[in-house]
Amino acid sequence: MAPRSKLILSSGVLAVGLAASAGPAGPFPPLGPFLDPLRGVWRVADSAQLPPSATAVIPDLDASVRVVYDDRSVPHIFASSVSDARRALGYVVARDRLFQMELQTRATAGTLTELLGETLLGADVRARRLSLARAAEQDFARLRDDPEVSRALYDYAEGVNTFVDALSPAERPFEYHLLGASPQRWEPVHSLYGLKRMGLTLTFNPTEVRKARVAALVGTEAADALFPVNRPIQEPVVPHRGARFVGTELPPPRDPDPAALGRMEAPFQERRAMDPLSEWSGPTSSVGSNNWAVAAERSASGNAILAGDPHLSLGLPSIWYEAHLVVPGVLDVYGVTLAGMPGIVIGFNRNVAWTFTNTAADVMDYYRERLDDPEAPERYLLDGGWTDLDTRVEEFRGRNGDLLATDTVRHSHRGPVLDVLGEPMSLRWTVLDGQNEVRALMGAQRALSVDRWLDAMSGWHAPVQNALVAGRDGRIAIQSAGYYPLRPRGARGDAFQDGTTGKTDWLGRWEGYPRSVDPAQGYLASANQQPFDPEAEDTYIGADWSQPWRALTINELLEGREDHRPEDLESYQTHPSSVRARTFRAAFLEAASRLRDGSRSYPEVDTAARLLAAWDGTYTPENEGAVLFEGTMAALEDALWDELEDEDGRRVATPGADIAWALLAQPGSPWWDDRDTPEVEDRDMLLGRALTAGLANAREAHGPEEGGGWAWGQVAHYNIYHLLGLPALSRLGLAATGGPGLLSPLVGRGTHGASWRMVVELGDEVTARGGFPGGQSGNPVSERYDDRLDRWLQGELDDLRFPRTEEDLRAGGWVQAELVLVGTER
Amino acid sequence: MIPLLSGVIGVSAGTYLAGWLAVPVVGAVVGGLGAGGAPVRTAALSGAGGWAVLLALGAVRGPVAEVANLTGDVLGGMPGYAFLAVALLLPAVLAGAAGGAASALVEIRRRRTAGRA
Repeated sequence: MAPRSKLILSSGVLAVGLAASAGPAGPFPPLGPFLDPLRGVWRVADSAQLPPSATAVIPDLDASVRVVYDDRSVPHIFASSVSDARRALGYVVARDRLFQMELQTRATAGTLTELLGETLLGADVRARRLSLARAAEQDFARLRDDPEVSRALYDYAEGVNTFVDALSPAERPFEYHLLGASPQRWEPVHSLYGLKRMGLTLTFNPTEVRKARVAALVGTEAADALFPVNRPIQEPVVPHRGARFVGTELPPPRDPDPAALGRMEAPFQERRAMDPLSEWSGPTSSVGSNNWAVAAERSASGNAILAGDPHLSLGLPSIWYEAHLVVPGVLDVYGVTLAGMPGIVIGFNRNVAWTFTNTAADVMDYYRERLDDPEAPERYLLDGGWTDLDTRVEEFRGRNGDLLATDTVRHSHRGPVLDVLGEPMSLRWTVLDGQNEVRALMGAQRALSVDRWLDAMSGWHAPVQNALVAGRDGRIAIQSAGYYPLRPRGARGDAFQDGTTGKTDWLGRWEGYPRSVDPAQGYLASANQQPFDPEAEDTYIGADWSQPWRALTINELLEGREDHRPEDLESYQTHPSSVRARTFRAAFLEAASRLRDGSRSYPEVDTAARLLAAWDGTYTPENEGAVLFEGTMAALEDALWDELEDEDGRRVATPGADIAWALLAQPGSPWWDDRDTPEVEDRDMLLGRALTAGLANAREAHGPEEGGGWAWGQVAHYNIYHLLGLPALSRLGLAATGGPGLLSPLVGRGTHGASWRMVVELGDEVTARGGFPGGQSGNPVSERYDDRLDRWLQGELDDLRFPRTEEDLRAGGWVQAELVLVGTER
Repeated sequence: MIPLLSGVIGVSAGTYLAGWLAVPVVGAVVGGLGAGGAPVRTAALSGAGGWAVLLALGAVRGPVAEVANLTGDVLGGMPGYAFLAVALLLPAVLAGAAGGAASALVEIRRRRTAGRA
């Protein structure tokens, strides 16, 4: 080749190579730094294993801190002051979970576009309109009055930032290499962002919106009965008089109200993309939790035993991080923390153990506002006069700092003004109020008794939690802690309120929250069910309680024996059957029997009933009966709730199975009629039809019943996604015992479940077992990324190491790695 | 062999000192020096070889193969060896192209000098 041609060709290739190396190309990061063997993605391999020993400098440490990682990669932090322990906690969590911390923070702040690009603009707009970060900033400003909590947030941030500042570009976590980005520093207020985010997850449940949609289809009276304030089966958190099967008379459905439907649907569809509700207004039945405890008199050893498993979104890495903090004579607490929290959230010390379930109280109300200008409002009508809206302009920036969009966010005195079903409504929500959960948790960690622990939790604000505690003295207690709004007389939070008058505003805090201490029955349990039996207390505190099936199941198990052991409580967490399955299986079989006694023949109903009768009611991966039952339940829902379908054939909401249970006692109710058929169906016809459809669907989807395709583990899966949803970093299609209504729930796409399981026995020595689906490390090439997953899928827990001293860890042969944190001379 | 070995060492050392940008620079030097009559090939092999040495050293510290598998999967479902090949192709292209350009410039200059003579 002629030299000149060679020069042109080589230069061209070189130019292309340099361009690809220096700048991003589509989804790919700049290839030069990304593939550099010494500074690129390869260096992620270096942090896959914890180095056997390491040292780091945290400038403001009072004294050196020793961190010993046990054989489960749990850091045991031995410090001489609580401040140092918190600094060390910030450091070790950042060491394992830095990207997770930043992503959570950005999701709350509405700045995901700056890290991930314009595709996240919708999520950022929603986050900013809800104003969670703004509320966190206001809480943080108020901490001037609480220097101890303020100090805790600064301590933690110092630990995190020590790690961040020492991180070279090469040492960034995997995701930063992929994105070509660098970690941001941790601000003390970011810990509060995490709490706000948890508040969003657990309490953002617009029951008013759902009820309004249902009412437009079937009338207000029917909507109230389908989504009742009081469930038809009562098994309350606060023991009353055992399970009470109350039932409810369902009024017939009214015809749809086209005017109401038109008002809410058309604008809603158009504005859905920017609607702050769209991401979170789906069914929340999968976000629940269990906790239970037996007092001394009901355990084999005479010690109180506590068990808990919060059901949250399952992710990799897990939202939980396990740690043990020891400050001799001051603090000795073990448990799980949320990445970003300066302490243990669920866990135990030498005297008490505690865990939470979500109460699901109604802590958010919508107020219809009248604005002066629908397009660019500046004022809202209140008590006959115009009041200024608090307005701010939000800017959204891209990865390079370029301005992507702006959005004007407005607040009334109640909260942010949102577009809800096409109307301007302001949101009053306890999560946006001033709160200080960090103080409550700090007190809980150090509590020496059940009473002191309850005292500490009395300051809890949001999200309202069923806080269960057991003590070394054999006592147990539960307190549904948090801020319950006191509404004006007659006002309920499950309907839109009039915003033009201040008379509809909350009056303050209702103090009669659910609580039970040392109950005579010797055990306590909560599973997000209605906390009070209305027979005992009928103040309105919510209308979206979980169905009672899990509560019925666990109370049945706890009632069943007087001598529970920790291994019993552990096995209950993955108990393979449910009261729901038992109840409806019997109903289907009885209906099939009655149909068989009639004049017509239903061979497919008989076949389905025969298969269902042979099912043992369990949901283990190898079980082949659950598929038919769940298919039949789904077919029943489709046929029963056809009145709740909109014009596009989508069901706008699905009443709970306990409502369907109540209907079983009303065989001629018009709800049983399938509007799509000319004949008028009754209960047995519809149950029979569901059996037929369930069988047909199961055969179509999974083959013939004897073909082996009906194994539950082949049909229902857990899907645990990486934070960015990348399949290669996720663990998908995982079979395990679990199902709808089970204590170990497995519903829908399998993305939610028991995010942490823990069983603690409080004797002279505390013994505990636990585990979560994933691992301690956020590094996907580390064995510690998902090393606990298989055991979680098997329903097995690990022994949790709870040494008093570092020497105890060594004596047990449990030391995996060590880290020494030292300060600088001052 | 000596030019290639020198190139491999040069790319490794250059990457250690200055990062990926050293690869085309070393490639240009290798190409400009003639590299035993096959400047493009020698420069390209120097680039790939230099990074291969560094990756091999990295594998002593941690699971580099696992990084290749995972990253390949994330970036379009390619197997680990394919991602590794891409990772070595980049320095080969950078060094080879720079070496080719440099050798061409040397040749053009040599011809001009010869023409004037």
